[in-house]
Amino acid sequence: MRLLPGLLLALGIGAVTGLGLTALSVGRGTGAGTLRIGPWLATPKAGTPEADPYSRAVTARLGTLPLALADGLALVADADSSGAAIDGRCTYRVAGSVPPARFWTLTAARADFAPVVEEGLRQAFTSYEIVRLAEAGTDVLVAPQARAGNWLPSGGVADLRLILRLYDTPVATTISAATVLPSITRLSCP
Amino acid sequence: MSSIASRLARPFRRVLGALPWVIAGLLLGVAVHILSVFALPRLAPDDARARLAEVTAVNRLTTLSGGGSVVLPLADPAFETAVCRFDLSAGPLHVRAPVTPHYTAVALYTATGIAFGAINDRAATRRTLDLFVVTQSQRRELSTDEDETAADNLILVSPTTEGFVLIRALAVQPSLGPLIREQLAAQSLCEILTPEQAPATQ
Repeated sequence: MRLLPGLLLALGIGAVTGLGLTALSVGRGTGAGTLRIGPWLATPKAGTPEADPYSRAVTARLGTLPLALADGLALVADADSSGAAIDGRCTYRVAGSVPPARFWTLTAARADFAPVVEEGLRQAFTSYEIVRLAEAGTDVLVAPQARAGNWLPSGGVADLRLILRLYDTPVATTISAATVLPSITRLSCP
Repeated sequence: MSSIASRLARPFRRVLGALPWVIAGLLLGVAVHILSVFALPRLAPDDARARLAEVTAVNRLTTLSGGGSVVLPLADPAFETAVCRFDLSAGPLHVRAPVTPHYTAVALYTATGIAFGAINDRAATRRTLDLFVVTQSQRRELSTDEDETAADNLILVSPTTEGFVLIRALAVQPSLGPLIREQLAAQSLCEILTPEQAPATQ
């Protein structure tokens, strides 16, 4: 092969695979600092000086300031406990015990972390207002239509994310794959 | 016989000739990937710094309405937030946050969004949470004249001259949001100290 077409071929392949890999990997739980625990993804080192390059890139692209570890820890789920992607048109039950924390919040958001419902409607549950049905830590229903009990509106969006944030918790520094977190079960789908 | 072999060999040889270029391209791809991941924090046009520069003034506290989740994605909507973009070149910064009924936290970030310090209301000894943010050289000046163990002040050293302070308070129910926001706006403080006001050390 002659020089010019060969060079163009190499540059083309380089640009496409390089930028393609970046677009595919950033924001999908890549990087040494990301933990997957059941359906939840945690990046405890995000926003600290020890953050890995992937989580730094995610932070900059989202334009956010991640929670400091002394403050709390955020866990994000984009799939349920069976591994299927979370769809806001379906009904989910988030239940199980939550690691020890002063309090926690459960939020529904879109894939770009924009709110799913307009202001004035419930966007999050705090552990202070959960109606405890049993001794179990949490039992929240995520559904597009109103439900009895602890109902978190999902707005019926297809690209739903659930975010569990634990505040003032020792788990922020000790979190591991063995940490017990609530499960996300799909109850019904239209 | 030999003509068939040579006819088959010609496209094969062309593929073989392109192979080094393909391999070079793939190696280049790996390099481009690594470089672009490292460059993203510097190139992202819409990072926290750019977002907050639009809505805040330097060394002045701004309360973000409606949970602040629109200005800062991934911010908890259950919280009310006040932001202060600081510049320590004029002197040390005094940050004060009220202790709200359930939870208040003060987090400090560098201009590039790296958290270098955070405290919550558990550290409060009074009804407010007071802390001082200084640069490395301002820290040295502070500790030269007096015994610092006598001081009851929280002093945090910022690795950069510019950065952000985030004061966040929990509203346990959405209806309590406006109340908490009012308390944040009325009782929080973010101001540069004049030399006479420097953290009291007696």
